[in-house]
Amino acid sequence: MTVQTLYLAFGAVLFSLGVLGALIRRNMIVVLMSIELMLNGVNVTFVAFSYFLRDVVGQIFAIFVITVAACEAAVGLAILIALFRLRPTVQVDEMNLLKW
Amino acid sequence: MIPLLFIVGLGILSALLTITQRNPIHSALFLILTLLSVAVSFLFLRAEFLAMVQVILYAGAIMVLILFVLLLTARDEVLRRSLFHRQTFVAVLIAGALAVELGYLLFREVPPILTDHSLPHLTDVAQALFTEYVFPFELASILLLAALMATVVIAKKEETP
Repeated sequence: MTVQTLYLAFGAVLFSLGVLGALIRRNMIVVLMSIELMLNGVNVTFVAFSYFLRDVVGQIFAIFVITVAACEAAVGLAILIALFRLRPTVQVDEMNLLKW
Repeated sequence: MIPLLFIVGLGILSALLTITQRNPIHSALFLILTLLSVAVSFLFLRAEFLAMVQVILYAGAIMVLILFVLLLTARDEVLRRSLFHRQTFVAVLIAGALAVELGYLLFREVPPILTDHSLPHLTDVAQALFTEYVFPFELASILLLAALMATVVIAKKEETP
């Protein structure tokens, strides 16, 4: 197993665990944390390719991914706070006001 | 190789614990451990700036925000109920299929990359960011401003007339 494969496997495992967590957990904050896990898996892959291809673009993309992750966490948690005020629960399967 | 294996193992183990802990605060603490091991793996890849950004912005700012909201929402209600969604079986199937696909790609398609370029330095990253990628950079600043205003507007308490 080369170092390159190890890094790519790290990114892939982090992404898969993030997908799993986002799908199976009922607590909305843990779902948001799983999304952060997925973004981190992508970042590991970007930076690994940036290192092995000797190209700066991977690092620049990783910076943009971190920016978008910060925005996503802030807006997601604001929505959660607004929703919690309306209906005091953080379980995603009880947030079904728009479900038909 | 051995320190790298240790860091990767730590990251994967704490990611697994993040999505299986009953108490969401423990989940958040294990997520911080994952983020820090990702930062260390960035250091191994000679991306020092990104490692620092990871520690300050992810493990610092974002996780403080998440922990803050965790403490604002009800905790005892969370501890009593079942941890997992009804759709867990299907979800495990989907995530397993995704993992198998990624593993297949990883072990079949990726030959070792050999280049003779020199390693990119932080000055090269800054040069590219402020010349070639200056338009996405400005777009990111607009996105941050929009997210800032949206957060304030959404989370503000509505005044009853």
